Amino acid sequence: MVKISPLEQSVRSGCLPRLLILGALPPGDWHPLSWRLVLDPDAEFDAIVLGEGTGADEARTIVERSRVPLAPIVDVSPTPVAHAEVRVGVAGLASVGDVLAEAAEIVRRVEALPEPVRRASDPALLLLARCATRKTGLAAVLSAAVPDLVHYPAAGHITAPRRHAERLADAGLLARTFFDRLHVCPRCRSARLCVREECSACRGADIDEEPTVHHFACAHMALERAFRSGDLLVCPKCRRSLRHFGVDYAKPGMATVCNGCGHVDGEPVIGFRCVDCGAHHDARAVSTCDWYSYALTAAGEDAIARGALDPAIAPPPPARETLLFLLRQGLALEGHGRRGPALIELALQALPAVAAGQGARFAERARALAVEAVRGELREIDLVVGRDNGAIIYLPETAADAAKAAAERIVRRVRAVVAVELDPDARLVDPRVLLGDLEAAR
Amino acid sequence: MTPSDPLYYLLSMDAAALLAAFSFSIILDLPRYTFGFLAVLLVELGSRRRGKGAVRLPTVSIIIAGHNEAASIRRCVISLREQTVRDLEIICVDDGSTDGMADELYRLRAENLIDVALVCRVRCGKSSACNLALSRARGEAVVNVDVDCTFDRDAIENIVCPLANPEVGAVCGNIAVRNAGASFIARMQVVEYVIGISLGKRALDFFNVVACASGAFSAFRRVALEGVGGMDVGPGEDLDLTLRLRQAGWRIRFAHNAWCLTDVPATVPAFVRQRLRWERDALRIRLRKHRRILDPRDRGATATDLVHQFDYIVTNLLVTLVFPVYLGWLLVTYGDAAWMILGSVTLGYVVLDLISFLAALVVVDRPGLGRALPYALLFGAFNAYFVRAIRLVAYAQEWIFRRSFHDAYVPARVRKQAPLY
Ligand SMILES: [Zn+2]
Ligand SMILES: [Zn+2]
Ligand SMILES: [Zn+2]
Repeated sequence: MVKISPLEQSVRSGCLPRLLILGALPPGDWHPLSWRLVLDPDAEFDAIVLGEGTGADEARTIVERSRVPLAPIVDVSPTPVAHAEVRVGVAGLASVGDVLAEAAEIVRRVEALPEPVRRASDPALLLLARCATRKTGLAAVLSAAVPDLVHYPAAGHITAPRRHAERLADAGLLARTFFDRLHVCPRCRSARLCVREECSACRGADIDEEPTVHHFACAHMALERAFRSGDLLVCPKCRRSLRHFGVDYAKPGMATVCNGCGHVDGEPVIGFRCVDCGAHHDARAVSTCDWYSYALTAAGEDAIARGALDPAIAPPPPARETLLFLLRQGLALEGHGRRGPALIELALQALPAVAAGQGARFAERARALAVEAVRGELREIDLVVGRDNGAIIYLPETAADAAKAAAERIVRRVRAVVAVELDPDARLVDPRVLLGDLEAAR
Repeated sequence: MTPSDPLYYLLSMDAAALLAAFSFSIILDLPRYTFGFLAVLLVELGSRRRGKGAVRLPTVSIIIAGHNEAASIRRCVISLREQTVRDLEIICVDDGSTDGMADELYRLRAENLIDVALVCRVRCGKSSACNLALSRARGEAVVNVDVDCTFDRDAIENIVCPLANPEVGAVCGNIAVRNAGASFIARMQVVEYVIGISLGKRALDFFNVVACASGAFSAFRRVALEGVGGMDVGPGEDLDLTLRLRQAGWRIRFAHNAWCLTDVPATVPAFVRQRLRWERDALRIRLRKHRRILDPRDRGATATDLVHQFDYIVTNLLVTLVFPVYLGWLLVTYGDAAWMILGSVTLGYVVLDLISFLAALVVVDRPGLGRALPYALLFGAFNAYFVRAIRLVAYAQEWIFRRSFHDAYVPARVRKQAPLY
């Protein structure tokens, strides 16, 4: 016997899709008559619309908790947040009416998916389904609101969508389209960097350009200021007046003069200042990160039609072995001009109590959610390995102070994302000690 | 042995006739060698007595100007970063290169190997590029080096050491040949550098008559350099600068223990081109731009100025100009016996230069010099005939056509504005 969804029932019985309204809706040319409005966030709904005075984060939390993990989030506020999934100005949507029509279209496509996909909890499968039901696929957009600077609105509440999307793309279910290459802070991995031209000596940005002047007759060459004498140019070496550009003098180059330290040099250097952690980096020290948009492939469509992912794709690589390998490599590289790795041990101290009170399955889901949240806070190169009551986080080539900052961020993030109090605690562990433990365990 | 035999003829001459026949060598060559040997002997004795005292080294700025030297600038800079003097300020100027030298300079700066990278989009000439670097230099001592040079690890320390004496305005470094094995002509230059620079400048230094702090490797007191306005338009700017420093009252020293290596021309045409240019430049600078020094009415010239100018006129100019005349006179006067006399004169050169080289082996502290000994046997003839012939051509070019003013060493638009001497 096939179970029929509430929406299918409502559509079959001529009922309208339900729209959960958050915040105040603007007046406009949209047609609320084609929707049923829901105002109680705990009631059932098919899509969420954001009005004025709400945030996408709130909507995402509601979607995450709901039984409709594929529900679209629509922003109709006059100043839509850049990473709202459907809003005026993206994908050719010109008005609030267009936006709501697109939302209805997504709801219709979601309803057409097989039941196991619609109710899935595997983030990779959900991401694939979201990609399948959105006109834009899994399109990357720039957003100043996130440290990565790149956001996938269609990913909705799924954290670290890039990680899942890359795995799906490697498996051939998604196709990559290059989006952008961004510079990232080597300390905190944020892409929110200020780029400036700087003095090569003091790295200050208060610099000016000034031409050099070459007096042919006496071979004197110096900054123009050395020749300036009121409106005239007078050679400081031979006291003759420079009268004719190109005949008795030339300006063969430009020099950079630093107002901070007085340094005179050729071209200025490029430097980066991280908006998030305040660190300053040379252009050479800043690494880059390539971002892609993703579209569903035929193999991806098949997977959705089957209602499940190939088990070979779904499970992450055997993390413990990877951790062992990375630890050995990282410690071997240390001292060869490279920074050593750092390790953070995340302990969810209240997890046993949660398991005792609300059941082991609930505790396991809370733990998985916490680990997922941790992944969202880390760099692409970092590794998170789940373990009893917490996780081990491997940060390659990371200084102790940067690791300490990461640990604090992780704790804050877990507190913010997981509604249940897990009493998270993150501390640095000596990589050598852990390597010894892991080798002994084998 | 018959009376028609040239050797018989030679042996039958009386003392006065012999003196006449060998007059050239006796008047123009012997005094120079005698003074040279004497000086080296005295210097050697002197340096044995004086130990190297602990002196405070001045702060040092290195200025390097180059045109299309992208391939060799890195080697030069790394050699400078290997010095016993650690905190060098290195200022590089790209003089209008088209081979990507500017990019290489910016790379070196990004790697913290150089401190300042200045770039001229068009070629301005070596003097101007050096002056630009000088305008930026902060060290008490400014060391000017050529891009194709590399240095002994203590070269910078040794070259700035004499500046501890406040009378010294410039110090000339010692130069050895890097590509000695490249060719015969390169080997000959090894001998020439050892006798002419390592030994010769030591002798000049003893008499305080060092006249040229070479553009390849020299150190200057920055205030002295700024006082004379840096370099003037080339070519020959290094000689000109040194003469102007001397006129300003500064002493010029030679640091025999400050070694740099350079590549010499390895083919005969390249060697000839280089020497033609050097000799033309020397003539122009000494006899045109600085002819005042020779004027007895000029009060600015010191006794030592007269000595080094006189030395140049006798050992370079007169030797070169008079030798062909002497040859002609020999042929006319002695007929077939002239060849005998000439052979003896040549043998004399060979012996004297061999003795010079052997003296150098004792005095000059440079490994591997002994390998050039076989070439030292040929050096006397090489120098007496080949080098003199080149010089003669150079003098003709300069005297008659002022060739040095058309030298592409200086860009055309700069040449047009440069003063004509
Ligand atoms: Zn500065
Ligand atoms: Zn001037
Ligand atoms: Zn940062």
